[in-house]
Amino acid sequence: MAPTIEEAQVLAGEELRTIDVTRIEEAVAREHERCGVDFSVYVGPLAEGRESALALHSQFGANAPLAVLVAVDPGSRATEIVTGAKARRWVDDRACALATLSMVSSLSAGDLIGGICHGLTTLGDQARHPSALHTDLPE
Amino acid sequence: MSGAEFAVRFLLIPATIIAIIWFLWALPSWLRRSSFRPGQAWTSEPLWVGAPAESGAINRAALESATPGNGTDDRGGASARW
Repeated sequence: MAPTIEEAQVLAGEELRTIDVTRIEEAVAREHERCGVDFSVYVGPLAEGRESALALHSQFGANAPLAVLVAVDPGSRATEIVTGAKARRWVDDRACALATLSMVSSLSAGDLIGGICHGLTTLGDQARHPSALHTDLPE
Repeated sequence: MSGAEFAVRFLLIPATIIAIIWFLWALPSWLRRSSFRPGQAWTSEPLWVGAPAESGAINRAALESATPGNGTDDRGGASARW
């Protein structure tokens, strides 16, 4: 189950203001409402690049197949998107590449929060799918 | 009309109006923009919105050793740098 705004767990992040964190929380909750995919946003160092992002994604445990992690390392100017095996049905690699493009356009202009929110919106747009009655529930 | 009155009426007042309009136009983007700039060193704890509820904290050992975990082959995504 994806987090709501109230449930979203936020870990530190002193470089960001409360309003910045709130914008990310709202974007995560909004896109989950729109498409049903469990989005998660990590902002911090990724020492090993994509391997670190995969390690973070593994922490979802049993929920990992349905989770989509958007990880941004502002220090090394890198962003990673990791999709779980089941989430790939709706968020394929091309959608992820499109989202990274939209993120980079804002991130390169210095807009960290805007880049994250644009990426989430792009992923949500791509992940929208018609709900199939009785068969659309996660296992 | 004296020179001072001319300057106030045709230079100072329009310049003030333009400055106010510009300030009101720029204010929302100033408020939206975070204080942190990409490229700076990230010195505080990482931020994770929507973190796994059961973990409670970032598994630093897994993060630093970059253990990808099970099912790596089934996962997808994309990478980018800027």
